[in-house]
Amino acid sequence: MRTFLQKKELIMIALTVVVCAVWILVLRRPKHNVTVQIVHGQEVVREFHPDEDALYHIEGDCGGLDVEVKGGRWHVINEQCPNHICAHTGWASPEDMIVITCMPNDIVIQVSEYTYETR
Amino acid sequence: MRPGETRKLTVLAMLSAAAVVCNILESVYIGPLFLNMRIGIANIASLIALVLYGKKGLCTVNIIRVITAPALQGTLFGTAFWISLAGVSLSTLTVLLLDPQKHSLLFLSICGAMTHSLGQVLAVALLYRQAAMAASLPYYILLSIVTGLLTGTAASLAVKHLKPVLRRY
Repeated sequence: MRTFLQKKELIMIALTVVVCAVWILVLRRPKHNVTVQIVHGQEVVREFHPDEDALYHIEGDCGGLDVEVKGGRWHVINEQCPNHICAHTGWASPEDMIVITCMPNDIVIQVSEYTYETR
Repeated sequence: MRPGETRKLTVLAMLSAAAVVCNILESVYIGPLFLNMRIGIANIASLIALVLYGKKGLCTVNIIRVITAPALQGTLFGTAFWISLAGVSLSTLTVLLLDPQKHSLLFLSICGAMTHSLGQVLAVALLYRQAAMAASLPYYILLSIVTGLLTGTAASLAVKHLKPVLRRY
């Protein structure tokens, strides 16, 4: 088996990088009327607008977590879970559309509604 | 059992054990690097098995790893287990479909890492019925290229040093 990348393989990887970069650029377009959902299990337990600073406590299967909303972004703090992956994810914003998941608590935080800015 | 088969069985058992240990060590001590993505150092053992013993070797190590690591951590059949299973299944299937004789180890490693992320994102999207998970996919795929390169390089270096040792016994 060969070790190093061949020309064809390099081209395929480069194409994948380009597709992902374009996908990210499209996702990062400025958005309006953003609503963020906090889902526990399959139930929406809270919805919020990121332009209003707030702190929400969400009960989960492993003790729960807090979602801090500040300056149009949100992140997880005070998480009671073994791995702290949700907190490691860091800040999410309407631009990056990152979904924050906490498996032990069975909680998902994601953008649910938005409209793109029109010039 | 012939000596060759005994050696194969022993090496595969050691690689499986290494994959399980790497999996647990990574989840407990190393943690995610960016977003909630890990390097996937357990994949190094799987790739070594692929080079040394082909597709069967890869399947053996991956099946043992995906069941044993969560069983030892007490998370077997939990949500994280199904997500991990989806990732490992899709990445293994991808490497099986791509012909290892026609492609380089680095390419197989990168494809495996990308489809591993794809499988995990699909599993989360299905389990939570959240199609919005797709928004994270480009970030994960880009990061997978980097992690695939890292694990592929580590595996090729390990194989380079392992082959002469295995030939001696």
